[in-house]
Amino acid sequence: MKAITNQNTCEGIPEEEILERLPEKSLFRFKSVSKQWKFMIESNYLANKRFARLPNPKLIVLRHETSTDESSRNVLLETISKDHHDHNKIFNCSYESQTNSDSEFYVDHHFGRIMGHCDGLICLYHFGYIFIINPAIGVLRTLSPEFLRNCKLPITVGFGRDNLTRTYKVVLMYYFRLDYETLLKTEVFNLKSGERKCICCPIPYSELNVAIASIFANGSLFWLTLRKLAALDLHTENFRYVLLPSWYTKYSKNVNLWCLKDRLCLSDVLQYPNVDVWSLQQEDPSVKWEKILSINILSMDCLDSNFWKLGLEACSLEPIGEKPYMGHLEQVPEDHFSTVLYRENLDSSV
Amino acid sequence: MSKKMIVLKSSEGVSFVVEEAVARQSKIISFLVEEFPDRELPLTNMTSEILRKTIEYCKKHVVEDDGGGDSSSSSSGDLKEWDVKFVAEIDQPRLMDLLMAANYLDIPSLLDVTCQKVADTIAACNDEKEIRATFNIENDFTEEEVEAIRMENQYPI
Repeated sequence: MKAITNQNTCEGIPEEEILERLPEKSLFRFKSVSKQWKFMIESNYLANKRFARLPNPKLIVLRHETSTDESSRNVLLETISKDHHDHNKIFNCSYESQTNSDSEFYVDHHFGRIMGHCDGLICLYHFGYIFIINPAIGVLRTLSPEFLRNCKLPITVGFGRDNLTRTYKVVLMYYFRLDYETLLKTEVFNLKSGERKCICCPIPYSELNVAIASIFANGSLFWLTLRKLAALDLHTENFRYVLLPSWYTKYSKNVNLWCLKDRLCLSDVLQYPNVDVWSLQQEDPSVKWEKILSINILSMDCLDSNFWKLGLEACSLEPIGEKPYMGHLEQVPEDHFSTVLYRENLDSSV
Repeated sequence: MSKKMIVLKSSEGVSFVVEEAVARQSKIISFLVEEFPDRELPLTNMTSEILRKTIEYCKKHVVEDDGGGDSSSSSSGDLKEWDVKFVAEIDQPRLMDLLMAANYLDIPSLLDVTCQKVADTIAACNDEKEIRATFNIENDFTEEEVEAIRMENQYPI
């Protein structure tokens, strides 16, 4: 074997071990060192390794703020962390306060909402505009209402990745009336190729829970409907239904649909202090849900960030048992009930 | 009772006699010692200088298992300080050699300190040209490509 010398630096150097330890800012600057470096820096592998090293993971929250003269409102995307209340601003968008009654219908679902996230990228929907945001860089893509070319605004938007082609896709759902029935029309937009396709959506409009955003896990987008989950495979672009765990009833309120290690999870945060985490283990040949964890969320300071978000969400509920002890967080602002785990993504294109 | 010693041989053929507990911090040596007890271990890809440095590090970090031994008396704070000094005294090419040795021998803590030192050096570089020069990396981008990457990756302040 050849002696180790500095003659050939690319051999034998565990470069990703070094890149793992660099600040985010340096990684952005030094993508231009070589093709090999750029590839490594933008890789999911490095993102996962860096995420595992983070001593204090952050959560992303969306905050609405009214201007002092109440003429306009701001939508702010920020990060929060457990140890210090660092409000790191990522995105800011202001709009005029609407007071006429016509627009009230839209307020809940159309003004500034995180509609999905995948690989650290955030899909924000704001009154007809769809923003794909990389929290480390800013807005990567904006889809305008003109671009969406539809007379109506979508009632819900989803975002995820086609696992086979590694392309990101935005899913838009519109409702339309056919005789006396209200149906859902679904459009899938491929962010890379620009291709858009209308597909048939089997979910009846009345059964879709638009208050809960869809979740991307393991190559599919999942929506909660009254009795089951609707899933859209982002590669084949086909819908399917997935049965929910036996404890789930249509009266189950405050169910959190989320993703842990690329698996779809379901948790009933109303059960606190002991919240069970159910994970979708398999769909074929039969649907199998498994209770993977039961976590006590009373002491939120000690919670892993993944579960901290469940704790925050439980704070929004009326107590049946003991309300989670919030420690130094004391008052959890309303904006923090719904959060997304921050994951670094050093790729600047979608 | 005398401690068990093993022999490591550098690429120049120089033999180093080391306490087994010291050498066992390398997962590779630990494995080799079990597979080939009482044999000299040839480390043909390591110069005497780098091997000496590696042994110096391992000697400092060895944890005696006979309890109360004075060689394990360094507190973790002292050790950290010692590590910082240890890597600060090594020049860039030798640091890379040491890093590769730590990687090859599988000594996680030494790999950590050397990688961190290299990462700090990279972070302190002004531009990508300085990094290429320091680490002898070939630029396989065209000027236009470099410019495009720069435009795309403006880091928000």
